[in-house]
Amino acid sequence: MSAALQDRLDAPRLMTAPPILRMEGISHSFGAVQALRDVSATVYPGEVLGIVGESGSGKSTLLRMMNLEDRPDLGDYRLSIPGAEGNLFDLDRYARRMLRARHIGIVYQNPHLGLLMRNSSSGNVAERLLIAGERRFAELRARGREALSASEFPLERMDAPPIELSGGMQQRVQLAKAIALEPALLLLDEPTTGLDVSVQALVLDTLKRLQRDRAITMVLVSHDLGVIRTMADRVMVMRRGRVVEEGLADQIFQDPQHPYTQALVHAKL
Amino acid sequence: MTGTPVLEVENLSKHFDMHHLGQRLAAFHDVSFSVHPGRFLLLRGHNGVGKSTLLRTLYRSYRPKGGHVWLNTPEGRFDLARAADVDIALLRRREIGFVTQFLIARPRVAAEEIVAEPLRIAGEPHDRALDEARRWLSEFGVKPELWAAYPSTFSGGEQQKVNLARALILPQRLLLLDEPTASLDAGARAALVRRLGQLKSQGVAMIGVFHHPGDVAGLVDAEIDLSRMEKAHVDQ
Repeated sequence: MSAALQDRLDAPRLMTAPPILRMEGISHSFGAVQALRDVSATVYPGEVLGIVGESGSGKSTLLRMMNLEDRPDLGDYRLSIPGAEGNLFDLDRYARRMLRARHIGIVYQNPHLGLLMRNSSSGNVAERLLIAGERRFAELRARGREALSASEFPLERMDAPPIELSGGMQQRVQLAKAIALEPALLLLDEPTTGLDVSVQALVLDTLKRLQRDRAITMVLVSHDLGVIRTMADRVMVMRRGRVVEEGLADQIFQDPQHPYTQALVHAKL
Repeated sequence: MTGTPVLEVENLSKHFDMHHLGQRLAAFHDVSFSVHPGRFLLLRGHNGVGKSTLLRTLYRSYRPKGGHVWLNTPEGRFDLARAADVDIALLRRREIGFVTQFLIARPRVAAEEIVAEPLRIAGEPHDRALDEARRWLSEFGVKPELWAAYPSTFSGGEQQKVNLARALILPQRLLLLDEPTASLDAGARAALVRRLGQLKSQGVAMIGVFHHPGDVAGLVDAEIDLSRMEKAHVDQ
């Protein structure tokens, strides 16, 4: 063991809470294409982890693993939440689905993946609450309103189906659905990509406010370095299925170490 | 000086590997010093000598390449050069402030909310945090009609005042100051020096780089001249 590593292991720790999320040794292939190669990640309570990388770097695949949608060929995944024992990839499909529904929220770049576009917006949020066992209409309505309001969705439109809404409004419905059960972990897959700049700023502001007021733990995937810089506490840089660098957000942007991270940061307009 | 220093820097070194050029740029080598509570250390030296680089390395915006940066707190003694990123993030919230001349304004967030945020994160109720934020915006000379406006549209000088009000609203154990008087008018500069004096008397340790060191002449306890230290370009 190197002296530097020993120093690090011996150092007193400030963060005494266990990580909310811990992934180790995740590897996965789609046919001949190796999408993830021995990826590990740790997320602590209340922080925002940003994941950046070019298209095909594996960042969205990793996020789907975090959301228990897919299982990797290899790897271990733990969440510090009630009822999540052992390697979560060993759970059966139903148990993974229940864990996902109750404790993990996700916002996709494409609202069609996260919403039923012809159901009402409030109905989309209520669906999440129904899965958790809520059956009382008044309670469904009240909690749906609360989640939509926290996502800064105009309540006079809560009964409109997402298909009638703008892209920014659809993202707010996804966000309301994702936070309705106060998830331990909020996953965001390019949540502002494709939105115009002013709407993007509103969505980011809403996310930042939620993070400050509710201390929601978030993992944010984006290829937009400006979005990551605005939102993330720590950043993981991925390339060709591997993590090439991790660091504090300002360190990644001001003093990138890896040649790929340097090229990425220097390419930013 | 007796007692425990807030910060003990031992043989700190920093260089930059510029992969696209295949070169290594040395910034500073084997720098050692310590700062006690309530003391003000001024970093001097000509342009490009590494004064701001040293501050950013202490804050861990730049990764140190050797040495130790010991921060002594009631919760323990932490080596900022080696601590985990998550611990550095916590220490920045509780113990270490960094004031630059640049504000990273978030889109559509009012000036008063930006200034109040450190107090809100520390658990202060929203109303009280906002009252305090307005007091400091006023102290630094930001007009009341701008308090609820978005700083992204402000002039450089007004943004800097918002930045200072935010950075100095909550006393921290160690304050790193990177040319905070640049682009300030005389009134705001005087307000800054008054606030730094208050914080110093409360025991805050400070390390600063100033384009016009005369601005803070009455506060400085010690100086380091980085021009006298080794600096070289070395091929990788």
